[in-house]
Amino acid sequence: MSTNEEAAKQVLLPMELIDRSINEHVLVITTGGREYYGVLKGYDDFVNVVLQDGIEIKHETTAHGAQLQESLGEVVNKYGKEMLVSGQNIVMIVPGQRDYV
Amino acid sequence: MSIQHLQDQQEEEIAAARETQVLPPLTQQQQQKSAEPKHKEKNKSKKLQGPKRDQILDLEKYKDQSVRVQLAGNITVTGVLKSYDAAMNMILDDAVEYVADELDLSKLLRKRTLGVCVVRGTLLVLVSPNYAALASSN
Repeated sequence: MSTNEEAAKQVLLPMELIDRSINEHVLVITTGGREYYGVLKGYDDFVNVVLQDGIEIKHETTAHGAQLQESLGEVVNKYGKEMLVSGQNIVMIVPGQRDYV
Repeated sequence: MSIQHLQDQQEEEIAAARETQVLPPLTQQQQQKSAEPKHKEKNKSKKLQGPKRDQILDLEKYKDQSVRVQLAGNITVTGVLKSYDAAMNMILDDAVEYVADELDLSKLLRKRTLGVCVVRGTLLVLVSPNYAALASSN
């Protein structure tokens, strides 16, 4: 047990990485292909997430299989100073700055 | 050993104790009262025992190895497993996201590199190890 705890201290746990991303830009990917990008202001045990200056991003889904080049996707919505994304549908949280228009 | 036998034995012991005046009459009730909680404790610990439930998949052996993770919403992510927790949240490094067509899962809609990312354990569908080795063998 104690060796496990020691090992856990050395490795950064997933929730710790989310904690370190506070006040930094994150991309929140949800089921259904919607993504939200903004400054992570807070989160809770369910990983409901509060974003500052959040934007909603959608990827074109018309190009069936053909288009595989990477694109950031297009901004479909801009939200106010604060927004809450429910943790129910969050599949991934990707820290790091991205250049959306 | 029957319960009746045990009870008889206990009564005999108590009677003997009363005769030698070691045990005043009142303590019989006290003894029974003090014996009750012990039985309850035993029952409780029996209920709590049962088969020990460890994690069914030990992700420790896949650490720093390439894994493939399928998530709800037709999303597949591959990457190097850096860490995980009891809720199966994971940190993947050099993660690549593949999104499949909802109607035809064999069609790849898009692919992109994400770098470091946190995968939530709640919407996890499938984890399989050594994706890189499998992909190169195909």
